[in-house]
Amino acid sequence: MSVDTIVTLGENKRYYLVDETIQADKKYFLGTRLKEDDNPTPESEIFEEFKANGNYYLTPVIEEEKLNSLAAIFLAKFKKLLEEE
Amino acid sequence: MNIENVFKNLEKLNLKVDNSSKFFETITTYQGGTKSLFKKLEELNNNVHKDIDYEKYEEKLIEYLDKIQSSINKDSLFNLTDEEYIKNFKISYQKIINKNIYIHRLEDERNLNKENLNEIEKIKNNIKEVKGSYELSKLHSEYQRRMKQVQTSTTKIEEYDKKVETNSKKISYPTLIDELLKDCSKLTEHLKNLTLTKETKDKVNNILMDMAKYFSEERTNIKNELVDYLELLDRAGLQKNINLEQKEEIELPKTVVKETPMDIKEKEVEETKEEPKVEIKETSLKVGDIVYYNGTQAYDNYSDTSRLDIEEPYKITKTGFDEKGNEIYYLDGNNYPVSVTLLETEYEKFNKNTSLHKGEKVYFSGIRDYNKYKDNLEIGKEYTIEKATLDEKGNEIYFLEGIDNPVSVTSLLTEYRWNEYMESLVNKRVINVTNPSKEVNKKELYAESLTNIVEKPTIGLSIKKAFSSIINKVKTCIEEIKQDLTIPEEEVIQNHKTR
Repeated sequence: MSVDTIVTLGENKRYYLVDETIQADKKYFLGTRLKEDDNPTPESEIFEEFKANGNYYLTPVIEEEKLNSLAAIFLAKFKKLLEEE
Repeated sequence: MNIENVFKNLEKLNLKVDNSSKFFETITTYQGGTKSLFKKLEELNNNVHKDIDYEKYEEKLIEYLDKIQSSINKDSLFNLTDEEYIKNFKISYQKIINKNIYIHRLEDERNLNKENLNEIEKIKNNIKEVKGSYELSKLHSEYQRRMKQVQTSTTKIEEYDKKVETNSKKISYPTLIDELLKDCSKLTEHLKNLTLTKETKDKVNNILMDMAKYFSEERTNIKNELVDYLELLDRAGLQKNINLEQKEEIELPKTVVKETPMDIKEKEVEETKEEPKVEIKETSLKVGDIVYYNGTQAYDNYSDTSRLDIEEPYKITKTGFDEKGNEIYYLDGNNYPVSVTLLETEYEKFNKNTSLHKGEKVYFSGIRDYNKYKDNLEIGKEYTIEKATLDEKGNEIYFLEGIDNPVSVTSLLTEYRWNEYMESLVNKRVINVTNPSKEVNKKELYAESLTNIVEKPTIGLSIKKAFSSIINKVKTCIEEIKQDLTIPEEEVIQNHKTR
């Protein structure tokens, strides 16, 4: 899976993968849920990607400490993106 | 009752006449007649041969232990400074819990096996009906998966069955109860070393007393039933069809029950660490028993742990008590006493109080360690337990094949739980990946995504502050983008030319 693609999960939930980061060999995505017309909803998640039984899964990170550190990482990446202008 | 029926009834009860004159005298003179005698014999025979009701005792035991745990928790046990005492108490407490764990695990596996076998039956029926090759292949895969689980479960059931058979089934009611009472006594010993408030100590002591009382009453009842039965057999001139070993166990003098937790009621438990005077006349381990050093630190002034080797088996040569009433043992080849809290039996050593065991397949639960055990496990990968043990605080830790560092139990799931977890992840599976149909403003979307994340209740203040410090820039950026989008194309071109 890669950034700037739209993934469809179960129950037809579609997320735009805004950015990614790799921490301790694990891939995390910042994703925003999309409406049917591809416009973003106010629902975003930081997902952990893992592969099992030949399938990819995206599970929302809910563990407080991990979520905070990943949020900080994406925040820093976003800041850098703005500064690049 | 005619003589033919009398002998038929004897056969039914697996009884034989030992003394004919006594027998015929009893059946003719027994109050209520022969029928009454056989009714009584049947009732007592059933009582003394009934299976051990482990479930009943487990429930009762867990009920008492839960009460103890909640009382101690109120006292913030884990914030206290007397770590060693807490550790010893926790180890003892954990041992009691784990005695029953195989029974539960066996039950779990049996249920899982049953469920899988039912599913397999359904799949077989479906295979007969389905004609499409895709559906058939799907069913076949599911069939194979279930079959694999059945094989694993069967192996586990055999293993647990063996353990339950070895550790539980062979012991009689009285032995089981005595074991529980000894544990109860050990808990009392450890408890007196904890810095708990007087109120909590009193409360826990009362629970332990209730626990001891309950089990000792159970024991008395069993003893009485057996004595009644043996007396009646003797009176009726019938051969004793009861296991001699069981009889001997019954007749053993048991002092632990009455002299440990029961006596505490009479003692005033002080808020200080002053030990209540508890007399124990029988040690839990005997001369000749093989024991191992459990790796814990001594808190007395006589046990020298530096001279004990964790891997070395020691034979008990002498037993006794110190001046505080704690059990002490002299070990073969060492001429100094060792406290009971430093020792574990052969069984305890090789059946460490862990919920998982060597060779078992496990999966990463996704929960990172909160303690010193740093893991680097992958979600979805199967690992095999190489070694199961406890750390110095009594936490379960596991060494996994191919992983250097030990892993805490909190990071692991059994195969069964993993499959359950996977089923719960149905909605997290990536079904499709596509490219966006229209161009996306990356910065705007990034800003919106982060805004949503930062609004989550678990996000800390520092992140919120950091975000708000750059949000203005983000807003400006978004405004600029929006303005760009609203300016007519000609104007944009004009502006571009004039720049």
